[in-house]
Amino acid sequence: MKKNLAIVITVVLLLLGWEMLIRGLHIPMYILPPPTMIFLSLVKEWKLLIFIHLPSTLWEVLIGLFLAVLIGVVAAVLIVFSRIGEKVLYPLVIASQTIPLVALSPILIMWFGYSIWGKVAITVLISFFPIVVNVVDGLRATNQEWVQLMKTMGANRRQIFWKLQIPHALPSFFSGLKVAATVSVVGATIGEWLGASEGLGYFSRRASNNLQADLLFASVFLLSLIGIAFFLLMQWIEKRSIPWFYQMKKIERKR
Amino acid sequence: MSILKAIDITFGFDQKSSILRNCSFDIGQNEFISLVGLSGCGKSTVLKLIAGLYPPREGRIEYAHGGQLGKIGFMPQQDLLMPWRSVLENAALPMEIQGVNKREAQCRVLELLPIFGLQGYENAYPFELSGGMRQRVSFLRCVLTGHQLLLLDEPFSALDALTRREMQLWLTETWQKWKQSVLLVTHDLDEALLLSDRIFVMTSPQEGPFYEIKVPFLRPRQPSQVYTKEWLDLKEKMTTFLYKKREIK
Repeated sequence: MKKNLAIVITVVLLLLGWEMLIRGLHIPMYILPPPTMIFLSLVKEWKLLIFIHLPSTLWEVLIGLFLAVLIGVVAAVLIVFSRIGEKVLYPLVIASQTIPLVALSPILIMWFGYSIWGKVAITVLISFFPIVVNVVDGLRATNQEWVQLMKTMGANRRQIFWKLQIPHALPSFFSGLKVAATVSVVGATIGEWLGASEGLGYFSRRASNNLQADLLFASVFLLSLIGIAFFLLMQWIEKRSIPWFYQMKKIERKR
Repeated sequence: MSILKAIDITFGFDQKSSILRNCSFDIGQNEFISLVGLSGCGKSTVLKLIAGLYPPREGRIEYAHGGQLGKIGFMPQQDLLMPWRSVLENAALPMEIQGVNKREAQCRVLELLPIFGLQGYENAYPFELSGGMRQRVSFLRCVLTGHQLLLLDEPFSALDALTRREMQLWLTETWQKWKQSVLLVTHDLDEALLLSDRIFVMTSPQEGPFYEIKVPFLRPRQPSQVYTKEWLDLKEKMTTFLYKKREIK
């Protein structure tokens, strides 16, 4: 409760400072609007934002994140358990992160048109990376002593994988997932900037072109709310999936 | 009758050096044997060799119950309990791997929990337990493999002196109930004398058979025997042997 109070006070102070700075220095609205103006435009356009643009961005993030988890986990398993995966796939995965997405946009639009899939593709491209890296690290961190112990029990490779390596890698998988959930919103936004007919990213681009800074900030505000919501959702799933990990950390901190 | 025979074993991690050279030994049914030696002489490696984790470079190991992996119980130095499994699930792991029905496996565990001083802790997680309790869960898991031979790798070395003594006494009282043979690796000579029928003294490198001591004391043994002359003499004999060999090297 105390922690929550601290963040609320900090945010309120920041907003107050922002508001007073702009009013005091007479900064024009198209440079930086004060929080009250952003709030007013949010209220004015809320139907459009909440019912048209928000759902379409949400869908892109949801589908993109789902595919990113799927692709990321499969890629990580291939990287850890096959030599070719390690030597070929891992470098390619890292290289994929250097692709200048903006330069790629004409091609993506040719491939997917203005449909949702172009945006999903960019979301996946950005958010599968933290999942791959974390799952690879998690799977590799399995203690060899543990593997030997399971071998003495007569365990085969499949049993070692499902009973030891997978549960052991879950905490790092969730670390990756939390990062992925946050950057997936960035991915969807970039996708919409490159070519879309709806979505918060599209809306913010239009507002930006029209120098409607208040509307731009209103959509950015909603985007960051999505990011925070997804992060908290993943954390919630994590706490329910690996409760032992949280209890263990709590007890270790006390010692 | 012996349940395991090692014949002319030579082993090392690289071709140049070897931990064992032409070493033969056997382990009898219902026999408790300790393997003692100075730190770093390769005691744990011998245990893993017997467990079947490494193949010997030369020689062979004959085990009365078939292949070694999956047929010999192994208790590692660290408890190696899985933090995502409760006491019940950890102890049931070897049976789970053998394909025993889950309900049946957990029934077996619940049956033995009181003997291991873990009654009421079946749903606790390893990190909630003390070091001594974790070792007992690890030992229970080893016993529940159901195999005729158990290999224990310094099971008490991570415990404080008082808990260690307590665990040793508990082990002397309980191990005979299972009719299993035990090979215990330790560097605590009192522990070896308290628990074993025979003691193998290992040197580095070990050439030929181990220096062997038959422990003459009747069971049950008392910790107070540690101060008797026969006890101290045997201890002295082993200590002299261990350090003399080291000086020659």
